[in-house]
Amino acid sequence: MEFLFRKANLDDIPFIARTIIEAEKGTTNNLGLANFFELSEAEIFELIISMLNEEIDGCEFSISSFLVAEYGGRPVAALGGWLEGYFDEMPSTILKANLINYTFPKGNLIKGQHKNDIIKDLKIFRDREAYQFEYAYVERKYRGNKLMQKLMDEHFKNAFKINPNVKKAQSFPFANNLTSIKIHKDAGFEIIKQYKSNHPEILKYSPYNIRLLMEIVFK
Amino acid sequence: MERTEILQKVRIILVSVLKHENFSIRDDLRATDVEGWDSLTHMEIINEIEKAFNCKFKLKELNKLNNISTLIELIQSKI
Repeated sequence: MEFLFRKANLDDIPFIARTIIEAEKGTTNNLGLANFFELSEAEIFELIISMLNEEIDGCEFSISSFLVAEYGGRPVAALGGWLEGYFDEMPSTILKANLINYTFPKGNLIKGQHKNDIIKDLKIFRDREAYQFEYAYVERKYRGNKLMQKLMDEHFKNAFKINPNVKKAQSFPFANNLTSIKIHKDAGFEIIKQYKSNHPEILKYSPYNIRLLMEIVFK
Repeated sequence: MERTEILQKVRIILVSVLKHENFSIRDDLRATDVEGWDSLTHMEIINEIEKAFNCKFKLKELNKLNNISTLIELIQSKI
């Protein structure tokens, strides 16, 4: 199979929204984001499309963060990545928060804010100037073609184009996502630390209760 | 409204949302410098500031706020 690797564009937004939803589910069928804000999957899908359409750069809800693998004229795989703090020195967590705050219904935001304590132990911290990976998805039919590895390689090229002195890349897979962990290890990532939640309700809002920080340091 | 007054009101909002005072409010203070200032609390902080100053920020304005100084300047431009 011949695949084309390219930057995502506005026409890819529905596929990128699907990518984000599938990645949020991880190895489960549970969409934590929907449960967290008490919205349906269909509503979350539309809200993600709205956020991507804002074309804000520098976070996991930025269309410019995504690269896609195309086959037969349509995207079949995608991977998000960006250089942390590159745009106006803004942390991605704040850009993401602004997008959600601007897009989601206020009543649902309040419902989410009341659950802060449940998810607090899985909150991750991204290092400024480190290249970040978030949200990966390959359509089932196209798995086994090493598309994720190839997309990651394209992201690495992109990282060095943006900043030739970029020191490292970070990714935060869930500890039960063995495929993702293997892909990262094969690319040279190492497990640096883990975030664990023992909250009894955590699996309602997250695909697993342990999240890893994996890093690759560029020589 | 004087800059110092705005700064004081912002400080009160930060303490109220973050539920601690382990920071000193200064022009170059960033969200990442303050314990507990994450995506969820950021939304609350922005909503409380909009309420307190009776103003509304645009998304593009919010995405330029990389420290307290830029936040204060934006509030001043709105009131």
